Amino acid sequence: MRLLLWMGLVAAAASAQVKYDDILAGPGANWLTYAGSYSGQRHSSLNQINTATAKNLTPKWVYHVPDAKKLEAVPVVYDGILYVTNSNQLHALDARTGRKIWVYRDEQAEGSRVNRGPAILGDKVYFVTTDCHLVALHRKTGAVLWHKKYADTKDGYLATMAPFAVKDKIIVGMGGGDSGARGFLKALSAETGQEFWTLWTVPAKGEPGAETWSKDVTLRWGGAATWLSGTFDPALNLLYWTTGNPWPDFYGGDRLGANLYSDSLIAVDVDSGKLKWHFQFTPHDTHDWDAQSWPVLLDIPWDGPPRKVVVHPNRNGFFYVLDRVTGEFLRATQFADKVDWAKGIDAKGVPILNPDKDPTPGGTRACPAVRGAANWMSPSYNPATGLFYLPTLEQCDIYSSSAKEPKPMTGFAGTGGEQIPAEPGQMFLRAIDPRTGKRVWQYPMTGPATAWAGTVSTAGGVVLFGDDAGHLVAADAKTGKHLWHFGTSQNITASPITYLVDGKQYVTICSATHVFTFGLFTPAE
Amino acid sequence: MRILMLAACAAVALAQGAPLKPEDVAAGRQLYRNSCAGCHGLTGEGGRGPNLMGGRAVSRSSDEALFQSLKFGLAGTDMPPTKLPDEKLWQILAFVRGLSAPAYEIPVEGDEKAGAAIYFGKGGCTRCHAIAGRGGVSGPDLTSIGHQRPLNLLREAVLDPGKRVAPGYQQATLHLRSGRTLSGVLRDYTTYTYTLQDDQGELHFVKAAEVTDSRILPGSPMPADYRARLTAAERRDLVKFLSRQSARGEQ
Repeated sequence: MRLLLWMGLVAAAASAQVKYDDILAGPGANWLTYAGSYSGQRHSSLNQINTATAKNLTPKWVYHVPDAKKLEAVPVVYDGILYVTNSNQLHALDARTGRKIWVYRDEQAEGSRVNRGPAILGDKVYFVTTDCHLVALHRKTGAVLWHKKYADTKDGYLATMAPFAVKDKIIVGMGGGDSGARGFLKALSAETGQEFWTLWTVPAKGEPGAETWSKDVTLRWGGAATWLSGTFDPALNLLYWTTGNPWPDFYGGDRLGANLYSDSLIAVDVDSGKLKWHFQFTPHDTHDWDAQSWPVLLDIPWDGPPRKVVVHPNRNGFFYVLDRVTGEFLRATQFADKVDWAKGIDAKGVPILNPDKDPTPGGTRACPAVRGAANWMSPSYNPATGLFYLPTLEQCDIYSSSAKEPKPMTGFAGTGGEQIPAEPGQMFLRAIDPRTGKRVWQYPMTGPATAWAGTVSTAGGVVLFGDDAGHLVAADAKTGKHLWHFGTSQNITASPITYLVDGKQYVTICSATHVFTFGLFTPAE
Repeated sequence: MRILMLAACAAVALAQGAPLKPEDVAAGRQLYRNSCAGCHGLTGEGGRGPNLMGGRAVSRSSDEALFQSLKFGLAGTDMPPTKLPDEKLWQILAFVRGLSAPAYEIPVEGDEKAGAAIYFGKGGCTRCHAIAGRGGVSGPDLTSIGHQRPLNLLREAVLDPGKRVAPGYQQATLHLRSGRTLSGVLRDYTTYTYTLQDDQGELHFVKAAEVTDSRILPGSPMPADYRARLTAAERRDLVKFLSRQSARGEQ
């Protein structure tokens, strides 16, 4: 009897495990990581919702997240349970009904901030608190397994990211770069939270790259934050992570030089934490153009045979293609129309600057806007259409600066960028062919240009995205033709996901305060 | 008015100079019973005077403001002034704070180590409750319970568990149309669906239409005989141990 009981326990435990291989398999029934897959393509193999059926999408359930003001979370879904985060909270819901199973609240965490979602591995579900604790909870009971404090708010750190589960590790990053907090990536043990390695995104004095900062104070407080999740190539064993702006954001006089490794894409060996290569998009940035839009891994024909590339739409208005093995720059094309800070990108990947586009005390008009032509809202890629779906903002700002003594952790950013009242921005969903960099179609949006909504692509030939007027929209992935929409009446600041429970495909997106879930119409039972 | 201010300042200085100890809270409880319980209830549940357990009157007031109310009463209400010496008022204040503050934040009597031995040993608590992943799943997780409950509710949960049942932890048995029987705690149930967690931690999502008979235990499944099973000192130590549980620890 005892043996039977013991075996039963083992069986129960075994069925509960989310394996690394499950995440490697990519999104089908489950949605196991922020971008659905390690490649960051956000492309699901599900096809019940397709160009013929999308018109029959209908709401299935709505879950109100108490205290929520601005949900930015991408949920993960495993075995019919949906996990979603709010500031210092993780909610586990029945994905069929939206009914709450359990909620964990960390009442001791400092303050309130947005949170971009959980991670899942083994029997654990993970999220970060506002004050940089990685929390591991039992995925079925919500019981606390451990808390690991991995950075200190006293040093200017904060956290908003979705942790990234890979192999036996949870990769975490930080926010606070706009106050000077020195960027890092850390790998913690998925089992215990113990630290495996730390990689600093601003070198220490004397290290290679330190010479790209002209003063000690900005080298020590350089920013280059790591506030978004990353992507991963299992064959190369490399993480791809983007870094934020250098500090102070808008005044570069105290940090002459390129300011490595700010505004860059870094490739990091996941086991050793060693930097394999880096590519800087915006050297010596003075427009707050963090590189935090998604690095998406594609294998596409390039002058003949398929090449392993990483594509990246940058806040600075250019769409980059790099060799992801070596970091070699292959091409950059302008994806936004309103770009005037640079004439283009040269053959080595260096911007050809236009004069007089730096912020000044009196203000300088420059494009794109401080929010960037792209940002962290997730793009997606459909291998069948060969198209890359990119939320884009067309806007210019007035950028101003002040040459004040840089004091970290005081909210000083060297001043900022402001929208021009007579020139409202406009958002688009654009389909770009990454092989040519050309725009194939676009879906113009109406609205105040305040959405931070991403996309998901499916094998049903549908791309779903949040628009600038608070709708979830389904469009034909090949043509951009509208198929369906649903109004949430709120500004959307999250990206949709899709998954399967009990044989039925669902689509979920967070609005500011609610989790909305849709499926194809079925008559009531 | 200036004299009043001076008196208050002196009292604060006294409190700051000599941090309160568990004995002060215990003394405060006795003083409270004699002077305050008549209006505010024996456990602070309220009556003629406001509720001091969950009410905002206490949690949103500074120590100084509460001290002033205790000493001089509240004009326009039935709250009278008192002639008790200041140090006794600080003891009452410490006790009253503990009625609503998380147990972790206030001084608590008892031996934490001895309490741990009872928790993991003769108390049998781990059968249903987990701390940092150690223990069962059919009762609420206690990893951070010191931050989630005030002391009086911790004590009540040990001694009088039937008084309140934690939401999502009602014991139930469901008989299904398939002939299967499921037992465990109901994490959720509605007219249409049941979410039952068995004691292995497995979740079962059941449509009401599949259920032929459901038995939902009205009270708490927690044993109600800890007053008999544990000595007064053991109960005190167990509550002390629970009050120190914090997922973040001393950070």
